[in-house]
Amino acid sequence: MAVKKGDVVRVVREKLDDSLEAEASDRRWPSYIFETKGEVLDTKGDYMLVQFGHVPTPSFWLRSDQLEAFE
Amino acid sequence: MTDESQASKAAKGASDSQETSLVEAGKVSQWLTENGFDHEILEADHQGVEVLKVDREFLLPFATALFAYGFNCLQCQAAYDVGPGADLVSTYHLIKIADDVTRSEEVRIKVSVPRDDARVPSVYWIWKGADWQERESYDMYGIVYEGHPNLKRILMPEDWVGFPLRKDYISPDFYELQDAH
Repeated sequence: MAVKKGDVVRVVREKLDDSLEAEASDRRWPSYIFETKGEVLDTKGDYMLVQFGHVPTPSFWLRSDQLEAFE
Repeated sequence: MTDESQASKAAKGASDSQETSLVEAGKVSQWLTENGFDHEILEADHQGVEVLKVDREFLLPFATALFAYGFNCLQCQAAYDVGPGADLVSTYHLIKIADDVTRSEEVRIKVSVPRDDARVPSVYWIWKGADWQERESYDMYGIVYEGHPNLKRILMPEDWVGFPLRKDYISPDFYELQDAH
């Protein structure tokens, strides 16, 4: 299912590990990106800006296949 | 001084032949082209400052040529992230410092590198002012300045992992504050 603006999402760990995006960060991922709800704020090409409101951290961009709908 | 006047005369000749290009080559760009320093011309900024793009392989000879041309001051070195999945850019703003100058000549250089292979040669050995600024660009974007004498983090704690100003940086929700040392 394609993720679109306004959707509530979480990060897919398998897709994030060893990706180009993983090079920017500490790979000991914080748990909030997998366990809490993130909102897609904006899209640009294949990338999405995600904000996790549960924690006071800045939003970040990930590829759409690295995100899945939060259920 | 005579060198400069000759260069500007020759530059006028070059401008006639380059009128077909999308962005008109400025004075510095024309001088560089004449002397065989290949580069791409980007659109000038709102103040009319020339912006030139160069491959990282040629940054050092290119910068050395500009230094010889009279750009004796690196006013600012900075970096930015074009976007997620896109390139990282290292920029250099150069000016000529001299006596009795009301408005010094300026030029800006940009070097684009892929984010999974972010290496740029350091210009520290040409302009010493690049020292802390290249460290900051490294700290925030992970651009490795090859040849820098002391390339370590300057703002974040030394053992920090990750480059906080990249668009795809995922911030930890908890970390321990450390004593400065």
